[in-house]
Amino acid sequence: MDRRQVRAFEQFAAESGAELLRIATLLAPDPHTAEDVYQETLQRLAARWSRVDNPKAFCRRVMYNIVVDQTRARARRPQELRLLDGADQGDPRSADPHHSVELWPSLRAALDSLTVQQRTVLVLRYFDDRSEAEVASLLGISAGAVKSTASRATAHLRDFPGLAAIFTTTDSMV
Amino acid sequence: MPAIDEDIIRDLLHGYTDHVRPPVSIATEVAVRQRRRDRRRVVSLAATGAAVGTAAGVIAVVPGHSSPAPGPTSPAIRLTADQRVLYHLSSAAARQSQGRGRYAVMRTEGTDLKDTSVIDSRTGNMWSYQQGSHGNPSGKSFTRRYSPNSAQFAAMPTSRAALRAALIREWNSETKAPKPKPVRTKGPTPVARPITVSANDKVFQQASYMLWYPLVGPGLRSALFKLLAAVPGVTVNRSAHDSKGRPAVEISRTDTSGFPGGKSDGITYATYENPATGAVLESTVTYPPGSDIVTPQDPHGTRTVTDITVYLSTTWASTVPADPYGG
Repeated sequence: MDRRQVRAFEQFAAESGAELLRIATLLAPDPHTAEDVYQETLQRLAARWSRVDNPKAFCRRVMYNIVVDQTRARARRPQELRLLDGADQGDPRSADPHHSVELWPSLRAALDSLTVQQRTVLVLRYFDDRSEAEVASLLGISAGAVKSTASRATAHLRDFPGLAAIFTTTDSMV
Repeated sequence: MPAIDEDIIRDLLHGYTDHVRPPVSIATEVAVRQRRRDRRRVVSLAATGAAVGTAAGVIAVVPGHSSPAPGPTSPAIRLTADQRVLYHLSSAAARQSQGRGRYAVMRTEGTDLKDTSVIDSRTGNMWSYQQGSHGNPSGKSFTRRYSPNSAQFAAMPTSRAALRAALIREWNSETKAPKPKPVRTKGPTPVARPITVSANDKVFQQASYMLWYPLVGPGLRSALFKLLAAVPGVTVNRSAHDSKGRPAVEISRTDTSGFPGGKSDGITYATYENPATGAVLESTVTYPPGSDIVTPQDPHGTRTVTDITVYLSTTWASTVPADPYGG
């Protein structure tokens, strides 16, 4: 990296870092792993900075790959105790019922109970607002698979204990 | 799926991560680490092509037994004291034997990192194990074809002119950046002043990158010292010590270019060699204030920054060793 590239890289990280870490937070099982995923993603981006045309797309694909690799590695290891349960309680300042801190453990558990692909599709479609075609291209799957995966993941969240009430409440309001 | 469900999920995902902010220092630390890796980067696979091209050139010349045309930095007939020291290191390097074993295991220590790199001499693949310290996590990475393999290094030219040309070609290919997309703006188009890097800067940087690399054999290392002896601006200090206090020959050079318009960026590259064997003990890069290099401690780049890599040991193994840091 020459100095111009360092400057451009740091500018990209300043502009997109928060968004990338938020995506990593949703994809990874805990905040510490999310920060590791974010850092590893930036490291891989830095190593290829001069050859990457679309850094944002590159980062999303890399994060997905890292999370898939980590999930496979965890699956090969004996089950570990979740020492960090309850550590990510979210922002206690929010008063919005949809943002209530009581929901966060349930949302975390619901996200963790999805497959990595379901979780990634959900995050890219509804957090990152990517189109089905964009998500399909990023993950290397068909647009139809994106649609059906998103649908299944949403249905799973609707039925997940602790979250179902939100969907039900909203349904009754409609 | 009802659109309302999508909206609920959007709200949930955004609300859950509203408070998330990355520490500012992460990007800077990543950039610092990448600079250090770049500095240690060696001639990549493009060198294979360069070596083949050079070999073809040699074959074309040999039938006539004509002497190659003198390059822009032909050796002085009378060697200066500095050049004699470099020729002495060249001889010492030529006397060393190439390590035996498939995998080179190299332990290094940086300003804030300890690394163990395992390099496959047959493929150029590299496993890198990093010991966490000073807030840096432990970690490991694998890079396929990090460098040429031993055979490809052995095929590189050792004549000064051909080696010099190969290093310049490689520098150019490694730093080739995509052209920025044109932006339509009203008014006169600003003209960016290109950064120019002199050929001698490229040669010194590439040669000093290669000297530390374990897959570079004695013949090529010997040739690299002779090549450095012919690069203007090289300074040799015979009574130096590295940061561990080991006696060393210090070979250093300050860039003569690097800023737009060919102005020197003031960056000094130095490599410290074992006087008896020519092995690299340490390499440093010193960035002066205003060279746009920032660190977490100096976010505005107003201080002199020296990146140090100490080479602790290189051994050879027949299998890939396990992560020494227990990762």
